[in-house]
Amino acid sequence: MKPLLRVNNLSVSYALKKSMFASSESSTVFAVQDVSFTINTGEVVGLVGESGCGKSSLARSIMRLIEPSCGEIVLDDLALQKLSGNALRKVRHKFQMVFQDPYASLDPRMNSGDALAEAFALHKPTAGTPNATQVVSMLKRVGLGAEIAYKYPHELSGGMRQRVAIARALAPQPMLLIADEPVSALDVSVRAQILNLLGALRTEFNYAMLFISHDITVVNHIADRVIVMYAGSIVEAGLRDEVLKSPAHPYSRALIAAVPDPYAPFSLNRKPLPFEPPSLSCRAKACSFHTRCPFVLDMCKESVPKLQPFGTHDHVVACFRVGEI
Amino acid sequence: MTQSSRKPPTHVQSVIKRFLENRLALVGLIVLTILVIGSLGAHLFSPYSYSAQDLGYGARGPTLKHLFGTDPLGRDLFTRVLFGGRVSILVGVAATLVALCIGVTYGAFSGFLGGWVDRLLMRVVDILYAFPFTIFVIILMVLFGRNIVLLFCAIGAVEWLTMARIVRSQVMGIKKLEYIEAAITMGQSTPTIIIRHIVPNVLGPVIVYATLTIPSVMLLEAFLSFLGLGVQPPMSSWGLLIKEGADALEEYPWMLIFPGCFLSAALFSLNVVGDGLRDALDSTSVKE
Amino acid sequence: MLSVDNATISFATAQGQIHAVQDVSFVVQNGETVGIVGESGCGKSVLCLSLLGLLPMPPARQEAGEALFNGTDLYALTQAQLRDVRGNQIGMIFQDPMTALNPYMRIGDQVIEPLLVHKKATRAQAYEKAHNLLSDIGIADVASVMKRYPHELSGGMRQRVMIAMTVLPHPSLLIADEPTTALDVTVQDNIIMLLSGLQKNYAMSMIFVTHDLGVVARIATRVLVMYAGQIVESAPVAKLFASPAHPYTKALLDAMPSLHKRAAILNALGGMPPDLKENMTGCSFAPRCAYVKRECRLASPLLLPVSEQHSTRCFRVQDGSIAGAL
Repeated sequence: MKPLLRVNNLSVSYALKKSMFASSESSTVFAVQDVSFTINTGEVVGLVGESGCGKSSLARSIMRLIEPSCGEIVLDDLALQKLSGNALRKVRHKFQMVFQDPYASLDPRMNSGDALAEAFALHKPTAGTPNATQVVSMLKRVGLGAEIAYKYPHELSGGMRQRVAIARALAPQPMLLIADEPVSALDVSVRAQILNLLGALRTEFNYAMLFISHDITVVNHIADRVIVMYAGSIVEAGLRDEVLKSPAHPYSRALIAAVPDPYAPFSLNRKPLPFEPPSLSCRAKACSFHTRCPFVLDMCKESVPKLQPFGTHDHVVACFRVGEI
Repeated sequence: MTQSSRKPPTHVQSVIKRFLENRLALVGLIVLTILVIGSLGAHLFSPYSYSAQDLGYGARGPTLKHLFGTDPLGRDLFTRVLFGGRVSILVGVAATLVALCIGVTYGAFSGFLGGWVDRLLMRVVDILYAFPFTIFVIILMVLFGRNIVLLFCAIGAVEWLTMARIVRSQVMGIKKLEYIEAAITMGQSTPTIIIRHIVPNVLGPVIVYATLTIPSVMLLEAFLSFLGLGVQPPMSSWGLLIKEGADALEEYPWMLIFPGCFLSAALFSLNVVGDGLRDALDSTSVKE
Repeated sequence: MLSVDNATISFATAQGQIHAVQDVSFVVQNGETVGIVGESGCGKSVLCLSLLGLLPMPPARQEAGEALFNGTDLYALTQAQLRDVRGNQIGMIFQDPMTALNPYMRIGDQVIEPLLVHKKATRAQAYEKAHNLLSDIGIADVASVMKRYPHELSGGMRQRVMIAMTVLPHPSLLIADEPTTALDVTVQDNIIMLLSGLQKNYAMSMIFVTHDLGVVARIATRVLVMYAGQIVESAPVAKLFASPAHPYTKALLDAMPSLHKRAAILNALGGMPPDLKENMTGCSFAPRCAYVKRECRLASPLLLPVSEQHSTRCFRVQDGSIAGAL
């Protein structure tokens, strides 16, 4: 099957702002380094990693909100990274985004109805001005009543705002939905409602989804396939159960062990990961995890491990010692 | 329609409601309205002309015939204060509009484009800031003669600098917010994003700053008139009247008191209205 | 050591009175860790702040209740008396170490400040104690860390410094308000282990406030579940997860995605928490409860024991009619 989204060797870098008086040469931060993956039609891919691992930069570069420094993004045979200006605007309805902070992603001066009408108007130019029924039926599909159309964001709860944001993203009937931590800012019971909603709407709108979260339990709930990122690179990827039930990369293991799960046995005597944050400021000549890895060898400090197949079903791992540990 | 009566208040309605709930701002608005109506309709409220002299009458204190008294040339002070208000308010509003047009365009442009364009535009502002205002106006007046339109432009040309900086910083803050990114990912075009999403969100601070600019412009005009660079007699403005009053303070104190009161009342009410607007426009300050 | 009885706190707002904490009673034993779990707005932070007299009054108002800490009622103390308790006998750790630390003060100077304030040591002694504690909790290169400013440290590092600063004067009670919420899981894991280790070494009692049931399972010995300003269930941690005795606790557990149980649809709790401005008649959870009966809407249940050390604020569990169903 041909994948819906193909990302090849994508890198995103930021030049650190050079102060006028700083004598040092300008430094570059690689937020995303040489990342490749695919998403099939209708599939949900979960992307996990801790803050600063580059997952948001990856999402935003696919959305073309920031410019990738190199690499290829192919959505439905369209090379997105080559498009710009009007050509890009014309295809934007194919891929939409749900943002993390429902307090910042809605225009405070625009009520929900107008926000949805704007999304409809952009992609149904032939149908004329979007009518109220279209807006109301969209609100209904995300579980909101018609009266919400007149409400401004500050009059809505966090969960309701996130529903409006989801409705706005789905209005143009996208093939790909990128959800960047869509439930992180929500309370447990509201989080469950939004997760259920994203799952239920999937059958109706048939979108593929890149679901980004730092919370593995949420990803375990919603994703078909899981990608684990660390310090800008993918360290492990594969089917959900393979990656989360039998993680092969030392980082994936540490991450999963650290998840506080009331139903999982745990010991307070086990040794947690040391928490030096990984440095992104240079393209390292070593495995990015070697500073925290309990299984580190000399070779890990000298060369970068490549993603290699491990087991079955496209399970890939970037670790030299994958077989032994 | 029965539906519309139950419709929740729109943003503008709730802003108006919040503004009217602020007593001080409401008083300011009423005082301001009286001053504006009195000045613009000066010829309706006063039986005299602002330049008509009653030489035999001379300088007299307030009487029933001349409510605010007369100046040494026998001109009715009440009339002159009303007509002076017309000039002051006109200068204030016109110069603020000039500042608003230049400042908002310049600031929005600079803030949204960012990068080297932004840096260049802001350095220009910095340089203009450093330019001594008084000398600038004196040069203008000397070169082109004293002229009220020129006065508007001169003051406006100075006041827009701060406006541009305010708009720029607001735009830079807003353009990073997720709802602007959401509009981009929807495929909205840049001009539409600026008009639909950025301008309405910048409008609050801009309106507030504009109401606070008017009094500062009126003060500037008073200052220039005080120096003799502003309005030419026999036309008057509050600033000019205050200058004349200050010169004659010992003999004819009413000549300073009345225009002084009017200017203070106008400045006070504009400031209060500006503050009230700022609070009313901040919808997040009151959660329902 | 701490015994809170019938604490009731309200806030006066323009829209009316908000009953933030209602009739909360619990005890903390020596050396025990009590977890307080609840969603945002359930009153758990207000409760903690009230114990240290940190609520702004007004708008906050102490309606009733007492909090006996080693025999003295914290709610009856003056601000001057509280200052002696704060930091010295009761330490508090906040959610965001970035805002809780003074950005213009070097780490070392900040960490020793509580010791100096409470005159427990001279500057040199305090510095040495701080140095020892920081290296004990696994901070490498302590001397250089102590010379740095808060913004030069990572989030996890800042939280460690914050914890060291709080623990240094040997408080007998530690109140931690969502101390790991802003952190990554691996760092959170670290901090949880650090806190439970310190708690044992220093023989402190701890109140650990969180919205995350998983975190509470790892650190607490006993758990209080709060909903709409009230404690709805109180149980030892193992019992709470094995046999929850309140429909709200059950709903929270069901709404949590897990790595070990996977359902196609999460059992999401519908509706919203009640408006705390209104005077409730009946059980506060009744409008959202799956097991609601007529009596639940008429009278408010009390927190009563259903088994040893296990109490619930639910009529239907108390009378045994749904005990097995949860």
